Amino acid sequence: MTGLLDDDQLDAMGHRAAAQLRAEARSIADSPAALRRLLAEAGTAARGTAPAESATVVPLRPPDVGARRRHLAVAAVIALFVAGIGYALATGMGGSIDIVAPSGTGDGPGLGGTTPATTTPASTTPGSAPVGSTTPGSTTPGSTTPGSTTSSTATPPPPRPTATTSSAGRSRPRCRPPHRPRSSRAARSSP
Amino acid sequence: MHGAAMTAAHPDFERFFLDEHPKLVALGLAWTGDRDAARDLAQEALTRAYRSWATVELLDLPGAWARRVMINLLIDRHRTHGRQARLVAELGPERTIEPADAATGPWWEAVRALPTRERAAVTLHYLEDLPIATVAEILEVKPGTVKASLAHARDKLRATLTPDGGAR
Repeated sequence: MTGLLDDDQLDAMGHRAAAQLRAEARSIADSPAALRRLLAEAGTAARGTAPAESATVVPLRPPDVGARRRHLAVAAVIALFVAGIGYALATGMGGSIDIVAPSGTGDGPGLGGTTPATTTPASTTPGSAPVGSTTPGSTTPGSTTPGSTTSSTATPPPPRPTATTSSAGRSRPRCRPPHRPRSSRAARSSP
Repeated sequence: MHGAAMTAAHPDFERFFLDEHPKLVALGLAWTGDRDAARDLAQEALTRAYRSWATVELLDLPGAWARRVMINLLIDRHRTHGRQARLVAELGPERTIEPADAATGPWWEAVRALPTRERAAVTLHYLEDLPIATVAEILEVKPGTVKASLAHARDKLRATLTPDGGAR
């Protein structure tokens, strides 16, 4: 069992180890080469940071966000327009033939205007003559509500022409309900 | 602008570098026992001194400032060394360490086993032969704290080392 080191022994051991370490550190440090390397790296870094410093003097132009938004808006409008045309073609809303409904169905005015009335067989059907209007299929004036069967029950419906029977499903205009302003008062008054 | 001016001529920094670099390498050797790590840490500390030379050269003890940076770098390395060692052990072979001959003895092995503050106090006291006040300034603690750290470190070293210079 060896005894413990006293302070003098401990200090002597520490100073001896430190002297050996300092000698080795001097031998491996190669301080001049390390200094040259530091200065070279610092010079490279200084040259590399020069453009960044000049860029901070002249502020960069902010990105043109407004133009991008305008482009997006135009693209959205075009997309909606194309989609609307496609939807109209797919549902037959834009056709001049399909919008014509046979008389007695109570269909209102179509999107085709007055032109189809003179070209469709519906206008030649007996009893389906329009009264004071060019809208086909309305037996009573003013009954423009789609699906109203009041006139149909009052007067017997004339026989449908076979030419329009096949396209009767497509001839009904797909009207949207009238637009109502979505105000809070209207919301409260509605049941 | 500042960096370009420093690149031109700075004899004061060159003298400071040539004087302090071997001491900081020795400090890194004592702390890590690795030659490459010691050189890299000393280079990093003096690079930071170079970047802040306009401020550092006005200090009373610019060497103390560099040692403080070196100690911080050593502490950071010591903290991350365990995680890196675990990752290296999991992912692949360990990096080849170039051990320093003088830093592999029982004394420095025992010093590296000390806690951080005691290790720093012992290293600066024995290796740099600095007075207690300067060690306290470098470590940013009171001189009494340095004395206490040295006393605790001595007790641990005394319990670890044998009178013939070996380890128990």
